[in-house]
Amino acid sequence: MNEPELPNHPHDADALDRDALDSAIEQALRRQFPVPPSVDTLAARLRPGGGARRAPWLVLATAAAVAGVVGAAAWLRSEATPSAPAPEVVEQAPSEAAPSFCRLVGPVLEGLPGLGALQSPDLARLYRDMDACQESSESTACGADDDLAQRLSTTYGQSLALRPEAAGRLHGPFGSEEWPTATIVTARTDGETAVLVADRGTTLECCVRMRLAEDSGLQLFTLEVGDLFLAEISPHSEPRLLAYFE
Amino acid sequence: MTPSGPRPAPRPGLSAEEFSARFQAGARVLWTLAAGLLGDPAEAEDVCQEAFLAAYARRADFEPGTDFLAWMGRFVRNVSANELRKRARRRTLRTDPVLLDQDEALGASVEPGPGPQQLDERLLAGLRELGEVPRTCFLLRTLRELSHAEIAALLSIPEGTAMSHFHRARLFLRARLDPAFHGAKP
Repeated sequence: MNEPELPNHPHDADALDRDALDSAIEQALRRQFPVPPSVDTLAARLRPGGGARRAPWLVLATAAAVAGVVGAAAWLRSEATPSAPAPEVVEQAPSEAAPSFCRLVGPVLEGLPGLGALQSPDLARLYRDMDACQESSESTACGADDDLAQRLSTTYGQSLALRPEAAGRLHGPFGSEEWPTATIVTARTDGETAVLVADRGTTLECCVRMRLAEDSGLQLFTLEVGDLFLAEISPHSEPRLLAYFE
Repeated sequence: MTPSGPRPAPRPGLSAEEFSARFQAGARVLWTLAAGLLGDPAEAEDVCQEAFLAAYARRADFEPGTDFLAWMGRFVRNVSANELRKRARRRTLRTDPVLLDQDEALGASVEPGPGPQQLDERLLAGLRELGEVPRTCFLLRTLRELSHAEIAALLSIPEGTAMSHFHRARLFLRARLDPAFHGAKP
């Protein structure tokens, strides 16, 4: 390799000076624009099927609606029931005779976050949707025998207890496309609906960006129980539902 | 067993595995593309995630044999443009005097002062002054060492235009950083 020649002309000195400046610019650029390590695993994290999968009841319902053919729906059911791998959520698809939304189990997406889980949930819209769910004539409050805490524990792998006074007050669990990996319950307190959303803390950290407009008139309260993240959306100035969980 | 009826035509596009592998191979370039268009590395990953999801859903539209990065670049550019539009709307609503004070403080921070930190501040200020496309050309060439042809494909511009943007950006940044550079030298 040849040694670089020393400048013996003002123009050469200028050129060296420019090279040094260019090098300084490049170094500053690399300092200010470092690629986050998480970029190197983006595809693995985001690829659908690599993590989350659609809840079986949602797959069934969607397929049946699209097909609109009794035979096709029956075929899909027979395909999904015996040969599908055991889902993480213990609860199976709600039967048509399910008495209330209490039997309808969220979340829309099970397991680790995947396609759709990155959408930023609009909490005000979520609140309105869930308020409507609660007001539905089909909705009744969960009783002690609904094992809501056990369902959440099974879904998110985090043990959780529900205080006895919650029995008969909480409606749900619901699922929402607005926040696909969340399980949602609601309750009426002081004449207003409060909405409680549960999801994994790790999911929230990597893949959920909550949005709540300042003029929504709603407040957001949060609680972490191990890796379980609980968020209460409420028009009240203090949380009412978080206290039920411990 | 004999097949009955004509076979369906092979589906064009990419399988989930092919798409993921190609995306990952170009993820750093796509991140840099987003960072350049936004002028901010902080939100580039979010843009890449959204672009991934949008492109994944359309992966059947990809024509085999064509430039995957150029195809992905369209998604990144569209998502970035949406993000910039959102920002513009947010800016027009900004009336909080505390935030306005912060803006003034940011402006003041690029005034001359000793040290390499000032070099970085000058660089960021200079990059903000550059347009989106020249800034992106400069970042892709300097950080990812792409050819002008590759940059042109990513941005859907002629190769000569990509080259011109890069050189103009370099001259501009040299002029902006030269005083700070000489001030920082021992």
